[in-house]
Amino acid sequence: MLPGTRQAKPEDAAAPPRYPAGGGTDGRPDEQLIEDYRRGEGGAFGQLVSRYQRELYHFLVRFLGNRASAEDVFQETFLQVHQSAEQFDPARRFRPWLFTIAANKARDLIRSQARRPTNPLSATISPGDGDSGEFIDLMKSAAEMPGEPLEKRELQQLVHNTVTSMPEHLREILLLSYFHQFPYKQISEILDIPLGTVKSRLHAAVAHFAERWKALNEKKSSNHSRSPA
Amino acid sequence: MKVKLRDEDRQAMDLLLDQSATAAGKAAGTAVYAAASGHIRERVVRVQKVLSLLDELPASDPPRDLMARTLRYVEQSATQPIHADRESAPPLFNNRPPVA
Repeated sequence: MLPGTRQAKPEDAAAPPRYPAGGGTDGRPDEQLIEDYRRGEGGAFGQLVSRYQRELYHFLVRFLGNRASAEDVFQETFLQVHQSAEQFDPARRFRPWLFTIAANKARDLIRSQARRPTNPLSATISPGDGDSGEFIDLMKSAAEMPGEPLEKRELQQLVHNTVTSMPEHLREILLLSYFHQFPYKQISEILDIPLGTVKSRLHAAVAHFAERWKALNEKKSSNHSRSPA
Repeated sequence: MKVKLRDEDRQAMDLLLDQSATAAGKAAGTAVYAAASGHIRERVVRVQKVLSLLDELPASDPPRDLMARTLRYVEQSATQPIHADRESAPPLFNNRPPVA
């Protein structure tokens, strides 16, 4: 087993949320805070920023790949929250709304910068080179890569490279689902895509991640074996 | 490489990732695994191994001053007050950040 990977256990499915709901000493629900802010309670806005600064920042850093951009988009997101507060429907949930704004801003930034090189694997899971394989084989080799165990930092770098090399729409949905644990229905709302597309895109994202992980790992292994002892 | 996804692969991913399904499993007192038949269970374990690699994705915590900078930025950028009676409204933000 690779360092950092763990044996899946049945109880994992009941793992606690990565980002517990609420936060701080103010127990008001998010929706109440935004409502109170609309009514003029300025401090309610600060509560929302405080409550979501860690989770939203993590999403943006992982999605955008660097801290400076994440900070910019974080600020732009809350500016938009302020500007659109009157349009927020209090009958809906605040968190998906916040992530909708953040994801839109992040995508805008990526496109405006056009800094990501076009990836030949970006269009589909496979480049259509005629070779084929079962996903379960890919998963097996991806999760049980033989050879020397990777050092922690090396593993982190490899995972980082794998994720950042994914097409933005696959990376985005994978992060929302895995790290932020949004139900499919809320992802559908955040990304404004049908539920069926959420499923197919997420399946493609996991497959793509496994495929890219395997490819980068093999490339790394190949480089190691060519380097002089 | 052309990757073929089987229905079992898709089901395993949905069992692991769709939090509404997971929540239902929790409510029933057993994890999603209980609902999965034997061969799906094997796929679930393998998908989870792949997904657990993502836990290695670094994500540093936000800078300490990000919240204060954000509040300043919003206050300075906000040209459109959201309250009609903004002049009589309390300050946009408290000076004191909420306790985390």
